[in-house]
Amino acid sequence: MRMNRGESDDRSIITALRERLAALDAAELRRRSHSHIERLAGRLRVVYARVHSGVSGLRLRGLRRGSKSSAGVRPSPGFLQTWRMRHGGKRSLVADILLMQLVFALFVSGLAGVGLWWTSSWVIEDNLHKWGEKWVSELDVIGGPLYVSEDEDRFWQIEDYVSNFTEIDFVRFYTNDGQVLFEDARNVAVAAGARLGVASFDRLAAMLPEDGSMLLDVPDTGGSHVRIGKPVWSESLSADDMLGYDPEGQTETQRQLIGFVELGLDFSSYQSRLNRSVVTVSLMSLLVLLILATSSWLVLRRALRPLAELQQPLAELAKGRTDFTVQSSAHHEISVISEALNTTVTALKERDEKLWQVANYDPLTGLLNRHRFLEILDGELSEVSRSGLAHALLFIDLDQFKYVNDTLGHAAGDRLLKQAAQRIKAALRKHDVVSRFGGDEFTILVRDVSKKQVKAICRELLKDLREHAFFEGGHCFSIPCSIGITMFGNADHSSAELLAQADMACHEAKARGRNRLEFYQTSGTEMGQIAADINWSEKIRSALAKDGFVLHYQPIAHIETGKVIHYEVLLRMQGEHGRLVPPDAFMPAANRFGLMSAIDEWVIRNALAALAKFRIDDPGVCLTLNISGNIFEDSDLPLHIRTHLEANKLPADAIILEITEQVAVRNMVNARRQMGALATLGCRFALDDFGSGYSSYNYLKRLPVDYVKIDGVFIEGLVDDEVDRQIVKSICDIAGAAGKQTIAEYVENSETYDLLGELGVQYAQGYYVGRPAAELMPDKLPAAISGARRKRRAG
Amino acid sequence: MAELPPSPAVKAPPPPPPPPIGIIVSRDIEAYAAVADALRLRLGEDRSRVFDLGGDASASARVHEAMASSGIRRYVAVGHLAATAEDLSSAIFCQVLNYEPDGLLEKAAGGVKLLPPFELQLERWQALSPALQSIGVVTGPGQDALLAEIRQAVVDAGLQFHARIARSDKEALNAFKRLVPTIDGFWMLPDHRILSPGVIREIMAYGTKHQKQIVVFNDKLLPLGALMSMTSEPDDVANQVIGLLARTTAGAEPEMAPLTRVRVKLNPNVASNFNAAPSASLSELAQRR
Repeated sequence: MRMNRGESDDRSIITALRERLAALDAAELRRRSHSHIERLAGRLRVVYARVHSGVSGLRLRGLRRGSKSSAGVRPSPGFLQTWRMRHGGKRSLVADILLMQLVFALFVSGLAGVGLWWTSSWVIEDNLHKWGEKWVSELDVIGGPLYVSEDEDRFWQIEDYVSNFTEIDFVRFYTNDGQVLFEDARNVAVAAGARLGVASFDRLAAMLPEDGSMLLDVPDTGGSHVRIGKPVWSESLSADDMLGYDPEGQTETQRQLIGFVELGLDFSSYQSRLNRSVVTVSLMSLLVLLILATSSWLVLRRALRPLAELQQPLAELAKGRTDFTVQSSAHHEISVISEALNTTVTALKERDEKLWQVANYDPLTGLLNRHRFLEILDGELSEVSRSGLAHALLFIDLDQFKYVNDTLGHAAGDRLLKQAAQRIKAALRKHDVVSRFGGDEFTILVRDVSKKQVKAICRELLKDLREHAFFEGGHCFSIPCSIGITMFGNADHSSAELLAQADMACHEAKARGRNRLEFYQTSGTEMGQIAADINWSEKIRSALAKDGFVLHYQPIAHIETGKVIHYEVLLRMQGEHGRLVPPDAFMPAANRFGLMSAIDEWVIRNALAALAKFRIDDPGVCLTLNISGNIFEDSDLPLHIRTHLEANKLPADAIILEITEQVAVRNMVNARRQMGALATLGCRFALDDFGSGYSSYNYLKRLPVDYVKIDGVFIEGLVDDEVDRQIVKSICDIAGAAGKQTIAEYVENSETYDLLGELGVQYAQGYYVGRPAAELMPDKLPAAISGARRKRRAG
Repeated sequence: MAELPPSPAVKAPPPPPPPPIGIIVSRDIEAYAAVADALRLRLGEDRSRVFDLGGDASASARVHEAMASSGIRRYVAVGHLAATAEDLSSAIFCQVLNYEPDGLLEKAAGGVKLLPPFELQLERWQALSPALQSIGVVTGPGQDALLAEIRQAVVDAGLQFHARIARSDKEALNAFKRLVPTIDGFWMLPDHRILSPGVIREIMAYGTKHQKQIVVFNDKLLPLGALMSMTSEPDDVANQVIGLLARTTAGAEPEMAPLTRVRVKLNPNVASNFNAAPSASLSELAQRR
């Protein structure tokens, strides 16, 4: 059922919808009408689940539980699983955002930390090298006199100088032959482990520029100690250059290597201080990150709260409730969603109301429909035992309605129904319930009434309807009716039984001359019939639910070639002990209890599935499906058939839909529309039982049928009855002129078969061609017509 | 007896011209060339001859041979290299600071001091910077007479004197840095044994940084931050050399003849930093004996 079609004013669509809804129970109706709501709700529920999981998924107890492990924050094996299970296996939006932020922040912090540590280490080392070079140059100056004097004061100067710098491990002055001239060591062990050799002196002297120094590593100290070596030069100008010395010019000097100075530096304290600082900063950064993460979580949670608050109205909407309004939000994005939700709720409310109307009211008369009336009746039955009141159920059938409908047309019939409904309603009390039960039938629940009172009501009703003047087409009609009444004051009978009783009483009224009322008189036969009907309706429902039906296939032969490519699908019900029940037994109950459409649907679904399997072996085989008039009232019939054809990968011309002439006439508007749509799809149609009933050739022109099935009453005596032969021949000729092909039913012998071929009938169906069977039986084929008969026909 | 008329007077033969004076220049630098030119001017070109060693000690023998072949018996050694010949007995040396450690006075006929009188220098200095109170010098070993002379002049001027002996350029730098806290001014003496280009720059930079007035011996050192340079005048040197030549020729004992004039050149930027006030009289003082 499509929601948008419910808005159409097309009476036929609404009528179809009404009948369709009458066949559905309340739960099914609600489910279909809110399916689209559930899709929307489902999407937003996902969002809410993420928000909700983000709100509750960052519980610290999971982190605290993990933090107890010796390896730091490490969730227990079940934590992630538990967290995922709690949130339906879905990720949390808040957690995702936070995780992304945290990862980014950790990455940046880590990068910054590493960069800081590396840069600081480099700066410290570089600075220390520069300081060392400066110190060694100073010491070179201070210690220079050591090489040319024995001034002990120099030692103190050097020691005083060195004592100012805690970074200096040792200073050592060498003579140019490698002898230690003077040594001052704070770190004796390091000083002892690092002595320059003569080879080093040669290298230093050769490599270094005039005032250059060289960085040397100290082994086994992890790089925290370095040495700087520097040659000590003595330089002087010549005596004759002094008076003419120009600082800007090139002047030769006399240089003499007099020794070496070695300086040992220790920057491990800086390193350890740096490491401590880095660790401290890292811990502080982590703490800040933790605070920021917590703040972010709170802020996000707060920010997304408006989204989370949408969960409640969405849940209400998913349950089908529309009696609420979503509060607007201060946030634009949420406000847009809220407004959309409110719009949706409003639209759904309106649609619900329309659906309610369509589902519970008859669009033509405005009265309750059959479905709603039955609900009310059931409700009344559940209360009647408690209330102890007596009620009456009336079943009204308009007399002569068919005559007006057939004579003056459907529009006139509809107007008649409307006027009758108005008169009926006007005659009742406010608390009585009246419905259009179907066609020209009305049911009334008269509450709290005695037999005498209901009799008076019915008499008044009969009088009103009888005296009502219905003008149409220049004629004036009255609206007599027959009324069947059954009284009830307890829940001994079901609504179906009461209706059956009232219906029987109505039949009795008609049988006794119409335009009268009759009370239901209980009899064994009637009770048995009612019980049987109810029993069959239950069996039909069970068969529909549990695939308790069986399809048989009767071949239809092409008379000229003898080939069988068509099979008519015949329905059976699985009975007790493997017995198959023919449709005659259960169809009346199906019709009475509105189960025909469901049966049609079952047949279409299963027949097409079977056809798909048959076509594996025989790609050209086709099936003919009998359909009731009820299914024409389903506006989605073409869609259903197309869906099943596509699902089974069948072409549309693989099925032939067979309807009776009566069904077509009774539902002419719907039938033409539906048949047109199905014909456009590619389906073919056969008009069954042609010749009996109306037998109007006009319908052959108006209905898009491909085949005309000649009623068996003309075939059974074909061989012996000339009139039957002429009738059959005329049907064939006219059908042929209209471009239709003919199929003869009830062919039971070869003479009839052959004769049909001579008369021009194209197809034959009957026991002679083949009996209905659960499988296709192409082996048993009727003999093709003899060559003599073929020649005679051609001649 | 008749008196014979007196015989006409017989003129004495003119005395032979004095032998030329050799002038040996250690190398071709302005300070030496200017003195050589001044000497030649006074002696006359025909009475002097200049020989240039070009800074090459091995040229000394050749020069002496040339002088001997030229009949030059006495010469003037200008600069240290010229004064390190084996036989200085007939030489007068000038433009040499370290004559004392090298014992030149004992070897030569005499010498002229390199530096202008310290009294004159101090007079100029104090005129420029009246607030001057202490002076320091650093020199190499063996300069006792020089130091005594400087000390006397400084003390006579009412100033404090601080001296340090260094044996190398770095030691000189260190000694200077240790002097800096105790002095207002530093007298840089041209002792090549303890001065190197780097040390000269270091001393100038350090002294400037610590607001010390530095007096130098060479105009070219002024841009490094010296307050002023005090140098000798070539004419003065030449005059003293010629006077000493005459005296020693007459048999006087060898001596170190002092100079009588000083040439002062000021660094006005440095002077302004010290609020030193160069006055018009400074130039007069610069010329006056």
